[in-house]
Amino acid sequence: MTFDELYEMYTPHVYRFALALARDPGEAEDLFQETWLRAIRADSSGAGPAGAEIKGWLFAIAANAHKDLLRKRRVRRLFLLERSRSMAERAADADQGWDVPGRAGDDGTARSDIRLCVRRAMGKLPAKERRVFVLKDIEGLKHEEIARILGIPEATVRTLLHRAIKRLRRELAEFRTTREPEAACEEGRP
Amino acid sequence: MTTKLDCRDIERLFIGAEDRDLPEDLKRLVEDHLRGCGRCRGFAADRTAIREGIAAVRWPAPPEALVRRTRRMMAGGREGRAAAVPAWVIAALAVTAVVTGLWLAVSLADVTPDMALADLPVAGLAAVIVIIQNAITLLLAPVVLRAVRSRRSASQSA
Repeated sequence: MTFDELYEMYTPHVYRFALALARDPGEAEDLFQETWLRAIRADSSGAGPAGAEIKGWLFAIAANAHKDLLRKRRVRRLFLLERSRSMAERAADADQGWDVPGRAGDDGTARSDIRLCVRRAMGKLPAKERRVFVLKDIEGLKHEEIARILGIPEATVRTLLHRAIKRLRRELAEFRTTREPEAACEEGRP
Repeated sequence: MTTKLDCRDIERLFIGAEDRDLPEDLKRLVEDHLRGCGRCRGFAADRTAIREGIAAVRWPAPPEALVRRTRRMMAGGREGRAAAVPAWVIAALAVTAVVTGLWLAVSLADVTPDMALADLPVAGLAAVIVIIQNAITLLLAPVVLRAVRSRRSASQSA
């Protein structure tokens, strides 16, 4: 398979992964580009994917690019080139670029609002937990594959996933106690 | 195997069971625990809600402009590598760096911490200026590079 074919085939996967990891669509685009640029560099230098591992290889590159992006952001904040963002802003940004069907109550408004809350809560997860959660729940990978992609032990994957779910549960609980879906979910939306 | 498991263990087993089937004895333990524990039943129900919530998201296709731009950048990257910096330029830079380092070492050999800037010999003063200049360059280089890159990518996408 040529690299162009690989690009055609995996573009939607990489974009979805970038969109799920990034805090807004602009950042997702940066991540998407950086992933493919690193991939072509690695491929040209003979460090390309082995056989059926292409998707995992691309996700590993994207995850590393995401780590670097966050590191750069921390440095920029250190030099006051970028302002720190509140949880609410991050969650509001996470709303962008996602499309949840059934907003107007096709299977009950409360249920679709829970979905919106899950989506927003995901935007608040710490980066490590978010990477694991995205690979598990969005990409549907096994713990073993996630461990290989992120270069961490399988037990750590389970721990991070457990923490992520607990955090998401707290958000859901908050949503349920307020039971005012519009106020809980729509606040701060553009 | 111990038959006493707390809620945290059950939650972890529950997560593990998403990946692979649990052995029969563990499965029974989890089921028994769930029957008698509302907290863990809540965990299981929330986990299902979270999974369903995520599964319901329709992911947008990547914007055409982004796909085209990235393809162009990758092609540019290939050409860029072909026209990489020649080895002799890197060697010349390395030699220059070593020579500058030696010169700085010699020039600053007689400088002591209690000396004022006016007391420095001309070569020492020049060395201090070079150090300050390099420090400023190092500090500002990332900002300048980023600005140049973003301007270049904006002109490419236009």
